[in-house]
Amino acid sequence: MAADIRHQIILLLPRLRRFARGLTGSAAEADDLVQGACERALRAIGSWQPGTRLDSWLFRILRNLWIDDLRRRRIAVSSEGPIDPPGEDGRTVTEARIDLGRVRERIAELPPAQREVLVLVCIEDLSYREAAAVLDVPIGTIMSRLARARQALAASLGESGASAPGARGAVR
Amino acid sequence: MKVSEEMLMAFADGELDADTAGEVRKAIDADPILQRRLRVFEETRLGAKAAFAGILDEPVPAQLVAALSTPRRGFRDWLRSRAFAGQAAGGLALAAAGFFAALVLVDRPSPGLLDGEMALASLLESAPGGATERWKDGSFQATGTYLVADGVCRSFTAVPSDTASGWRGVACRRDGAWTVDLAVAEPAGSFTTASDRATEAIDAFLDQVGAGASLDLAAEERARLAGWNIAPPRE
Repeated sequence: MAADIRHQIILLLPRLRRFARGLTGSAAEADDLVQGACERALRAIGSWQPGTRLDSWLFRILRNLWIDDLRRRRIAVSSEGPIDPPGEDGRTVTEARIDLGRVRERIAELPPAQREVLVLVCIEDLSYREAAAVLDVPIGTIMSRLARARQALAASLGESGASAPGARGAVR
Repeated sequence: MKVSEEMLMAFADGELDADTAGEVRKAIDADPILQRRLRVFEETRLGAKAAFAGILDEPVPAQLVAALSTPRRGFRDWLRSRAFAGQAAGGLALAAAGFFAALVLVDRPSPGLLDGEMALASLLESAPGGATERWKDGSFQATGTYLVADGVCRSFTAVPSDTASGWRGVACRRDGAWTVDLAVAEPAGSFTTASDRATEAIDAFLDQVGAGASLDLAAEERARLAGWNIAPPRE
């Protein structure tokens, strides 16, 4: 049983690394985080309930570890960030030519509370409900943070993308 | 119908029930501004996903896999089970005290391996994992590479000639030098399938030195090209 869970966690390592990279924006920090989360998961393996999603459980452990780390470094976690106007002026990603590195940079600049929702839903494909369970917040909070995160991302890509005409169609 | 930003986003994400989604669809079709606002949500999702897609294809660092590898049956349990299984114990010149001598030969000790140890050391140092290399009149193959606390170990098969019996074993690199820590004699022709006895002995040895799973070939190559100067797995 425990051996089987270990094997399943190994199979989830690529996704855990992607999730951690989305949160931290740094490859080295991400792998430290994944390692720490795996160690914590192995110690707490009895608290995972069979039949529930193992990936969500691991995301939650990893995310809490990341939050602990942010707090230690005195980085504000709960900030909602500036409220960006909806992209009605046309400065959205639609016309912008963006490159993937720029997208990663802009995501890394989002406030942590927006970034974690964006990563869980848009990159890891969790539903709003699943993301709410991982982050332990109501679905309404998930939706407001996610909408803000994406409008801020679109606005920052729209601004910078226009000045980078050489970058070719990265959004497929 | 008044469509809020969050409703538009939930539509883009497929989170609305069918009825609401149908109404939102109608409103979007009739309104270019809503269409443009919808694209913000569609394209940020596609863009974020694409920006991180490559990470899934990266090799996972060996120490992450090693940290999760299932602990195998302990060496002492294995030894005990062998000692009490008379038929098996008879064939093993293996004792706990002697197990970690520089070279442990099981069954018919032969000078053959020692004779070739200089050549063997250079093969252990430089042979790519899984590749069949020339050794004496036969072949050598590094079958696995493992990070351990004080360096790196490689499991190998070494057959001095096509007709002779060969060896399956583990060598470890400490302070820049390779030592064959375990070698199990194998009858000629038995190398196509790993014999249980050799596999068990190698597994038990790897457990004892704290090795996890074998490095994948990409990680093995990086470590080899770095002259085996690699960080040990962290605790």
